[in-house]
Amino acid sequence: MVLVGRDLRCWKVVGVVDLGVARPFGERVLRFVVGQSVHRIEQEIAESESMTLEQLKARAASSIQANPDDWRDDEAIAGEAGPPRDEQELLDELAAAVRAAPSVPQIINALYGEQLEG
Amino acid sequence: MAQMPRGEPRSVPDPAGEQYDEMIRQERLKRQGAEAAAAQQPVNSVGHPGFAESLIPVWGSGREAVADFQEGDYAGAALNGALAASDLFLAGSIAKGVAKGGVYVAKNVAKKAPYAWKTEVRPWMVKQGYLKPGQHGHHWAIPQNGWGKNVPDWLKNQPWNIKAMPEGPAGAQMHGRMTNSYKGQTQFNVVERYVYGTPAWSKVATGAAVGHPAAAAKAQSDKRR
Repeated sequence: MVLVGRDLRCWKVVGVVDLGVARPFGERVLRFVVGQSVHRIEQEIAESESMTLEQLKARAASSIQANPDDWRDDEAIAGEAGPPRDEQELLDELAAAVRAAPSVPQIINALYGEQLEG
Repeated sequence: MAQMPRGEPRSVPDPAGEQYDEMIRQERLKRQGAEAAAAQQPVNSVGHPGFAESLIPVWGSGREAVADFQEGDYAGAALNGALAASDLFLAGSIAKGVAKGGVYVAKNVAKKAPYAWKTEVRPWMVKQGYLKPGQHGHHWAIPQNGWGKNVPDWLKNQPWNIKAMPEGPAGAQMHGRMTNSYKGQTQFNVVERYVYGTPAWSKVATGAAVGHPAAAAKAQSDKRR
């Protein structure tokens, strides 16, 4: 896995250590009951060659096209909020939004609907 | 003063004697008939549950079914047996849901939409095995849009409210026809939306919700008779 910072420096994850469950006691009990415990993980990372914004956007866009199941918007395809949309059109729109993003936070906003600044 | 004459006991005429004997004979016959009727009752029936007990899932309807069968009420035994089977199915569905996680609890509530369907809950449901990758999930009880827009995401974007559609293009078509016409195919009517758009456990639960009070009321009426 490659981590990319907002300054486009890159790191590869070379090792992972599970430090055990995290969060306050009450939340840990609830999460244990529903089988969704949150673990604190220590990652060993090694800096790798940084990439340009265009390289990052190209990589993200090709990942969208290569993994449509992960990006499928079934509600839009079924037309639950308007006329049904074509699946490939939706994937192309998402990839285009990523390519149009001016920064790393804006790429995240395009992919996940967040409202990060920068 | 007159005195009883001394001597051996002797019988005296009893004007009401014959009537009395007939009365005793009738009483004896009645008692014999009642004893014969009681002897025909099954001695090994488990007994019917009370009204409250009959509402207990699996137990109530199961006991009612066994008692009906032992007493020869095969129609009642079949109805209550079906209710018990539906209760077992529901219990199994609940257990399977609990084993898969049951409810989604957001990892990071600081996010803008921690319970968003597309980016948070749907990927989790795929990971837990509720949905296959790419399989459509239909919000069957609380819709994503329409009146469902006023319902918080943490409530409507949960496994209980998601009905998996068939895999592949058939799933997209079925999902689309729930709310609209889809690529030339008309929207499903009310019956079709119920058949295709609701999970099996909800149909069974509806049957149990109607069947249990009906069976309990029937049991009460049989008891009074």
